[in-house]
Amino acid sequence: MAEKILVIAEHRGEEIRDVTWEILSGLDELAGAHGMEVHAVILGYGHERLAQELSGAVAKLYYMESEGLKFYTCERYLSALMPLIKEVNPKLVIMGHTAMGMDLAPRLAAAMDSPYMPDCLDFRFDAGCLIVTRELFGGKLRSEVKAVEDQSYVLTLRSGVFTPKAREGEKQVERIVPQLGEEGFLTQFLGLTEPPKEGVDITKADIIIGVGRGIGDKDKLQVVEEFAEVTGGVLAATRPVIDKGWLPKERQVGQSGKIVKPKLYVACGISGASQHTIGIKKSETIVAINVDPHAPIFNIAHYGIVGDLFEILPAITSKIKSIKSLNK
Amino acid sequence: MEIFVCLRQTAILKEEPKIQPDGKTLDLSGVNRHLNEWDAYALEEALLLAQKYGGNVSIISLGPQEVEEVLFYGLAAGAKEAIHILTPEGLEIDNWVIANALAQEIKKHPFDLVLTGAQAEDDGCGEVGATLAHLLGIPHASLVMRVVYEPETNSLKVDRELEEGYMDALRLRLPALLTVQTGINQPRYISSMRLRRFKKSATISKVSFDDLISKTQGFLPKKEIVKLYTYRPDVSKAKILEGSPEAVAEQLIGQLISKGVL
Amino acid sequence: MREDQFVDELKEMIVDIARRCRNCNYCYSVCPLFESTRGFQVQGPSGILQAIRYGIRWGELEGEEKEILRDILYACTTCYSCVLKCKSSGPGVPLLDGIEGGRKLLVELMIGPMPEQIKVLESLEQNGNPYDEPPSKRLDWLRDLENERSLSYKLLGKGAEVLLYVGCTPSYNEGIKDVARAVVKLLEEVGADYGILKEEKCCGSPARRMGEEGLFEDLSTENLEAFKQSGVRKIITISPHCYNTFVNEYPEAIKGFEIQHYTEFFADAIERGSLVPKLRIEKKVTYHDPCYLGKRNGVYDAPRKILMSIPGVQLVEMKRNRDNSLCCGGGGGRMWIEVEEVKRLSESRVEEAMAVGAEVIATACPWCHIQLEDAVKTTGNEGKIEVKEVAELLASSL
Repeated sequence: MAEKILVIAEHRGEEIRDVTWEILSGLDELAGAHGMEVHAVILGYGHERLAQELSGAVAKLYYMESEGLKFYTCERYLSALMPLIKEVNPKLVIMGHTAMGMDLAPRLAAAMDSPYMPDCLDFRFDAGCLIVTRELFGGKLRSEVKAVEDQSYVLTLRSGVFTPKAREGEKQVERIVPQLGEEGFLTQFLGLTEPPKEGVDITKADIIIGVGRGIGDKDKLQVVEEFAEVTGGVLAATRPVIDKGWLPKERQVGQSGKIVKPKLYVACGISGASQHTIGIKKSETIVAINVDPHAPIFNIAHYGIVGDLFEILPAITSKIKSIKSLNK
Repeated sequence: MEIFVCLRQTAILKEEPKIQPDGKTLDLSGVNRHLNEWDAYALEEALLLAQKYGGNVSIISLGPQEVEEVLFYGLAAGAKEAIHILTPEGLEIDNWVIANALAQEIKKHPFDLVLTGAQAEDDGCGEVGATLAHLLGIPHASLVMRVVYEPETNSLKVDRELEEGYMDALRLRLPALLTVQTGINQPRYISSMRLRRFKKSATISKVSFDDLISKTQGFLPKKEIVKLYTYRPDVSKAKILEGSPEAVAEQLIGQLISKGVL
Repeated sequence: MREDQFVDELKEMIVDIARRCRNCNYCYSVCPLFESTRGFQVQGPSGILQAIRYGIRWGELEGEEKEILRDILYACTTCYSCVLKCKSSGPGVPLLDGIEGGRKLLVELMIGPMPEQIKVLESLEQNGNPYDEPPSKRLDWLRDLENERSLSYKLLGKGAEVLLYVGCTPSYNEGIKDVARAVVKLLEEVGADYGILKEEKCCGSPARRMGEEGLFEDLSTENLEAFKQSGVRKIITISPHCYNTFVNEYPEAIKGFEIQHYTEFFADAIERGSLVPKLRIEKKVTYHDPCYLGKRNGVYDAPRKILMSIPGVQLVEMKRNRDNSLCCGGGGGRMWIEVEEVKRLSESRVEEAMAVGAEVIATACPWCHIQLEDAVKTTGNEGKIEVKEVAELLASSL
């Protein structure tokens, strides 16, 4: 009998999150190569439609429904999943390396007494042992990590590694109603806060100019602002710049900010740590400007310029200005 | 509130990382180490909570002799007690082993709250906190950005940072474990002089790792690194433009116009 | 020394200094912070000193106001104008000793420094420079020059007569690397027997300005040892901040060396005839006196002598010059923090330069250079006036 992979799906705001579709796409090849069957589980309350949507993409879809599962809490999700995992006995449990994944997956692995492989870029099996590829030191190094031989493994996959493919078709969904009495639970979900509605929605912009720590100072933003103006782009920034308050939170791009997919993303003075690049990987064209030729940003950029942004940007700005005036 | 903070010492890779001939370990000779950035936020949060609600902060770390640095640092910052789980030279450990050792030691002490950083600078796994919570049998919440204590219910109300600006809020009954995200506070600066003084006069309790594991069946690593390598930009992917700023500007604009982007 | 004792002695020192202030307020008339901000009492020398004094007296070091006190103390640029003014018109209170002492106290009590300065101090400690740059890249500016032409410097310690102490900003800041290269070209022209430290570390002045006394001690001890090992007789610096800290703040043993700022060294060379500026530079040039070179150390003439020796240069003086010079706002750790200003100091200075019709602002300090260059841009005067280091002007006239 084929070994199983169990994907733990994620949803937010009445939609399946991208990372789940990415995982399913990534598994097409990997599961096929090892002759494994892909199952998935979605937990919620009133989420039948989402369960149906997912069902076509997998061999079997479990929908665990209970009021206590409407919003994610580790305790309740764990309580619901453990019996299912015992029954399905997957070789591999996978979810996205998201806020939920970071919270649930290690706890699940510990409860299953299984090795935990977080934030993976790739994985394979070697004589029954799981081997994954993951980054170290924020991307400065990569490693291959081998888990001890075990019955099951728990793995989280980095967002944006695989490209989601269009899915069609529906199947029979197995609906499970776990018995989740509230007594005995020590945590209580209090509420989900949406980000404040703001003036500029950078996710809608065609051209985005990203600013990183390389800008050095709030008052040095002018050179980037001029560049943005002349290209018709909007400003965005990495977490450190937002933390310093040089730009408002709504402009943050990255793992804990927004994911953007513009036509053009120009990364200025951004080193390219994964927490940021996750947010820009889907851009059509990425241009990176950094003084450090070894900056990880060059790993994902389409065009790279090794130089001082305070020299490069004005040069591009004035060149564009002169082209525009010629065209008038 | 009795608060335990787990501290990890990480290497700071400023120069090009050097990989040993075995192809799977780092050559860390001459490399500086410091307190893991996330743990500095956890330590600060613990100190602020103890200050606000009363109580003591104890710090604990696992590793060889050098790890004392971060413990003295924590004591200088205001922790009352420091425990060093001293590991023997050349010991193979992973986060599973670390969590087990920490759990074995922390269990011996009365505690209300355990704080860790959300992840470590070196491996970025975010694994020890949740694993430790499981081993201690207490609830946990990760990526915490705000902590408020509710004495009436002996609970904590925490805000967690999710993606894209979303946050959620949770109530946890104590004892509990939280993993803390950067930006939750502003860690205080410990001056060289202050650190020096504490290194001279403060005491750290030492626990032998071997003693700890002998009390259980012993715990072994569940994973190991089999290959380490530096990943260079895929030259065929990133087209590096060269020349003076003006020349580069011209090349880039040309490329972007021909691609229809500009 | 036990913590309490150290802190108590520091508090006593600060209160003693503060007591001597007569509240005559003369210092406000020369304070650049007071001029550029909204003019609150705590934005001037006497006010800052009294703030820390009463902060100590009223136990504000524990309460929620401690961050306000910290912000007050760290806004000062440490330009020294107040000290000079108090000496000439008042009781001669060592105001800056009190203010910098206050910073030391706040750092000791974990209230200071300013949050943005923490990474700077950490970088000083780990990398030997404030810019979070790897030590291995510190001599890149020199290697780039070597690719163009051969140089005769000695990488110490092989013994040379003169040590060129480069400093962190000329070593790592792209724009200021040109200044370092200009200085080297001048040294070559003079035929000086000069050397450069193989592993130079920060002079320590930023640490001291921010109140990190322990770090300053570590850096100064290391550097002094390196100087001794190098076997040099004389040390020349590019930055007045390095110059000031060597001359006035380093341990006694530094007295075994002759310390000069590069402007002094090359002014001497011009006088001796070993440096002859030939090429004409037809420009109206004004010289901006760096606080740490002029006010703190009385070096006003050497840079001017150099400029006047360049054929074609017409030297004009700004309204405020020499010991009256307006601070650029970069000193005292301010390069790394933001102080809310009504009128930015560096912009006021650029306007003063424009007002006397200058085409070039000449300066002799990397931070003044950076501050003024930024201000030229932000005041929209690019193309109308430029900032050049004295060394750059001199080198281009050879």
